[in-house]
Amino acid sequence: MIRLTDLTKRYGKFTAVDSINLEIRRGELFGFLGPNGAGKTTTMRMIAGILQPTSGRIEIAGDDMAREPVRAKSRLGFIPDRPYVYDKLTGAEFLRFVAALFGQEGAAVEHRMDELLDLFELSTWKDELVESYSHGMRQKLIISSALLHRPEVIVVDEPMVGLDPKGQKFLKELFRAFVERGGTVLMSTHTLDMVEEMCDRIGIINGGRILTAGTMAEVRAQTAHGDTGLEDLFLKLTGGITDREMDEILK
Amino acid sequence: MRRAIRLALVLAAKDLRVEFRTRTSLLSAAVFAALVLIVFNFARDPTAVATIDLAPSVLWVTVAFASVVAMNRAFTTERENAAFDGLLLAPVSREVLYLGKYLANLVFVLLVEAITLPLFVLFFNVGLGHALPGLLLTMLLATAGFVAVGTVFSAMVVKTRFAELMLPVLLLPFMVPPLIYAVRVSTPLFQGRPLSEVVAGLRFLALYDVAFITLSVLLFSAVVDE
Repeated sequence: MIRLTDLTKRYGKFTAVDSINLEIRRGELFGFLGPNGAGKTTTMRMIAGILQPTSGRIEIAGDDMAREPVRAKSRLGFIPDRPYVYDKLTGAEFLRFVAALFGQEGAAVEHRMDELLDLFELSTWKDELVESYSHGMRQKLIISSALLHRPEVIVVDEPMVGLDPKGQKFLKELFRAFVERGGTVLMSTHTLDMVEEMCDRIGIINGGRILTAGTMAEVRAQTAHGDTGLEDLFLKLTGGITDREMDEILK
Repeated sequence: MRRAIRLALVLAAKDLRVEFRTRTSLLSAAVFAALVLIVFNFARDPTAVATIDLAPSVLWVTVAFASVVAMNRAFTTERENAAFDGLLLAPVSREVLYLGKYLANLVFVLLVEAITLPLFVLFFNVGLGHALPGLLLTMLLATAGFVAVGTVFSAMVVKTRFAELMLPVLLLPFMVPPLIYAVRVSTPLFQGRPLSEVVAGLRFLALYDVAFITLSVLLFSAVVDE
């Protein structure tokens, strides 16, 4: 479970995230949408404990990120859009390093690591330096590292970047299976089809504020946009470009 | 406490492994130290100032600048692929993160000094003899202090555009006190005086270490969170 209470982040006079209140329950896959610069990544980086909020509260499975950061972080797996890896470590060394940071060592880690590397078809590459990995392989490695300590909550930023169609399908199935087992997934993406297909609830953020949140039906009802698809709904809420404006530009 | 030390060692081991695989910073710091010593060696006039009087200053100037070159690497490896964010999201306190980085830097700078010292003896023909234990203790104490400050500053400047330029600008003023005392302690040691004569200087270096390591641990969190 993720609970955000009056979460705010300011950089000087600029407010990147403005008093967000949001609860993502156990067994829920939540799609976090918004245009570029809306505050999605800032919010996710605060949830992951990378950034400190200016004010407000973040709870991960009941643990307060400010008061109990170590406990809260140990319940969380974060998958960034750009893999945080070290080129001069091998895949196996990187995973062992991450496991050690989560306080896990020994045979159990080796077993879990082999299991994940098999799952992501990286076994034959595990002793190669990460610098020789493709972007997709790096993404798979970072996903493996996020799952290594068996988190209860996964926060994921643009998960499909760099993955081939097979990898994308696998990841979708993985997230669904994770939430069906009682996990929580907060996923930020611009791929609206995937959100419609996968997410139990969505939230749309713009200008640092949550414009709407709920199931697709609830969001449609809240915004009085009838039976429109997510793309139209998103563009109407966030001020997307109209066909007439496009014609003007292309003239 | 044991967990914190174990985590700090894990972090330091990762840094050192990455560094030994690239070797770029270690090599550049060692080459830099050798060049400085060569320049000093050919620039000095042995008839004007006795080698024994000049040697401590030359040693510490070389160590100081080579250390800055070495410390520049502390967070640049983390900058690639934004890897430092990966460390921030781990269930590890900022204090432990600092300690890990500090230990890696300390080992790294001491390694640079271990390369510099024989070169210094070679170029300046200074017999270390019984001064060696005292000199090694001085090097350890002086290095422990300025590396503590350097680790915080390298975390501070890594996100700036001119990180390599900013680090010496910020760090060198803080290196002055330990360097002055390191020279003051080294000079009598080179002249064959006993260690008991330099206890006051060593005490200052130890005090500097305690003060700046404590301050750096406290400041690191604010530095990485903003």
